[in-house]
Amino acid sequence: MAGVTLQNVTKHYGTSAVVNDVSLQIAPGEFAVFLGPSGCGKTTTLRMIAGFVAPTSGSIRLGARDVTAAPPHRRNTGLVFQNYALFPHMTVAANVAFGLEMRNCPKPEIVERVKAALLRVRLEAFAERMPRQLSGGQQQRVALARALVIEPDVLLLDEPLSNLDTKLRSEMREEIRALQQSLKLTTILVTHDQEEALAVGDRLVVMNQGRIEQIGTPANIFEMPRSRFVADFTGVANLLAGRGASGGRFVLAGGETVRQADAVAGTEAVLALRPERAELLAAASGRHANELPARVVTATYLGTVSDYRVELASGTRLACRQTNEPGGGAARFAPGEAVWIGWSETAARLVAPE
Amino acid sequence: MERQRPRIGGVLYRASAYAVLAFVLAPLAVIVWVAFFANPIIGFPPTGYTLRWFARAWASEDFRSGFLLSVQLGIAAAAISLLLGVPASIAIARHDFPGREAINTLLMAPLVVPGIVGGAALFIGYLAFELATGIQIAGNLAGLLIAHTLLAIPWTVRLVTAALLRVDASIIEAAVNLGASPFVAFRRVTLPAIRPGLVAAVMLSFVISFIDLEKSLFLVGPGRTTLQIAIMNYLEWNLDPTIAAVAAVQIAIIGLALLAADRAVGLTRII
Ligand SMILES: Nc1ncnc2c1ncn2[C@@H]1O[C@H](COP(=O)(O)OP(=O)(O)OP(=O)(O)O)[C@@H](O)[C@H]1O
Ligand SMILES: [Mg+2]
Repeated sequence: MAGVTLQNVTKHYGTSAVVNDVSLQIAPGEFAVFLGPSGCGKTTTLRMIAGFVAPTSGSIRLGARDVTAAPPHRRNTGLVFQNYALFPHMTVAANVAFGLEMRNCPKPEIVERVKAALLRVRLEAFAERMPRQLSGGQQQRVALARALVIEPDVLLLDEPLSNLDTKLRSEMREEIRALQQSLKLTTILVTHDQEEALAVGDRLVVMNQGRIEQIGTPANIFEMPRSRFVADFTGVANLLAGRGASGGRFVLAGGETVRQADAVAGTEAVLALRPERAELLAAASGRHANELPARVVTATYLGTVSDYRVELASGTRLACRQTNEPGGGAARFAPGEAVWIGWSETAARLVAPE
Repeated sequence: MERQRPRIGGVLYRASAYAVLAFVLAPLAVIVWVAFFANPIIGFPPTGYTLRWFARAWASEDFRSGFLLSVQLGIAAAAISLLLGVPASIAIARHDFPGREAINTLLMAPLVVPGIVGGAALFIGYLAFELATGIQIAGNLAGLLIAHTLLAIPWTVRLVTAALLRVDASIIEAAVNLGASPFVAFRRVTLPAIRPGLVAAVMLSFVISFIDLEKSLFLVGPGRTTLQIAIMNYLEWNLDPTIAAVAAVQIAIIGLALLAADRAVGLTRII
């Protein structure tokens, strides 16, 4: 087991920096998730760790070993490709055995370990099948077994779940997490799905345009986004520009003054409010530090919850998600209805404007 | 799909396709048929059937040695063009380098130059080489083999490059990630994936070499003729079914080679 250390890693293609001065330390046994929008450099970073892309500058260490210049076949990483990349002309068992053969493992030991690896991903009955005879989820598990059987220093997963349907995706997600935990395997998973990231990661690394935007635990990233970008990317739909005023008040660009615990007088900031942290009220209740009159613009019934868009008097629009009452029928408020929107002074968070 | 909705256009299309096919295949069928005629001179109708023309063809020193030389040349040309063509294909398929397009175009050039012109050019080239170095290649086996290899290489490179381009790059990376050196990854993963392309390249190279007449015309030496040239020589003075028997054997060999190539890879998709 080894940790992974990236030190000032930069990758240029032509003049554009695809990965820009990334420094990061992943502890042995930790499950890290690279999260970010398409094109932010997640795959490139992962491929630099695997050795398929050479960094322009910076260094990469696996444990104590500096692998910056090591060829990919000497790195002992286990890479799982998005398209699985199983060897089409080999059986499932031969696919899994490949890495052990490369390590000159004795025959009986290979047989033993392949069997154990297939058992671990519940595919022992499929050992003699060809990859094309397997479903997507099964192929995914073969790819996982093939990467795990070599006992890699680090397991690298590049959007391993994006080709699976929603139900299978959450099952596989839990399976990967369980395997990682039982093997105490240092793991890096790349995704642009924030729910996936929150569900499996010990630590999330949010990336944007080749840079690390924020590193933290799932709860930390979710509750305390540091920048507008992170807030936006983790599903904070309401990002309201404004300026701090004295006494824990914040003045929105639309002119409304709201109570906001972390406001600093005179500082430009963006109020980040999750839709599910605000409440819609038929009338002012006085239960929230902030209650503003508004009008419903759209109402979308989604079963467990309803999504609303409301407009303040100033024209500022807010998204708001409400849990539906059991047996309550359709959305509680209709478009055009006059309502109040309320949230506490700690429900929202101020983040730096861009 | 065609069967579900028969259209007049579809029927016409099929009819014309079969007509063209019949037009192409009919002479071949007739030649094979004639090879079994008992008539001493090619002519209709057959007065009976016999195998004696095949025996006579084999008994003829010209045909037998021409046949053996052509087979040897075909095999050697296919083997050498594979040895040279595979590395070239890898370079073309895997690396983006300046001049890559030019090389691709150049490789196709022999298909545009009439064979007889190419043969003459080679002959002149050989003579120039001989003048410069004193080493003779015109008129001997080496010269012939070089010419036939040159015939086969464009096809080999084309087929192997196409096969390489269809190999998913990620399976090669997967092999390397699992500890295979680039060479081992090529042997264990790339090679099996392109094997059909290699088989097709060998078969097609053999056929191209085997049927060549024009390039060889200038390059054969005394007592060393290919089957095609033996056939041409014979035709100058004779018109008995021996020639049909030779042609029938040739058609069978080429047919088998092309069939093998087509089985290995949908040839029609690449040419
Ligand atoms: N070989 C290359 N040559 C030039 N540019 C490249 C190359 N590989 C990647 N890039 C560029 O680098 C950027 C980052 O690519 P990368 O594949 O790392 O993104 P990503 O975060 O994995 O995105 P996605 O979520 O879409 O997979 C992209 O803008 C891409 O166009
Ligand atoms: Mg990617």
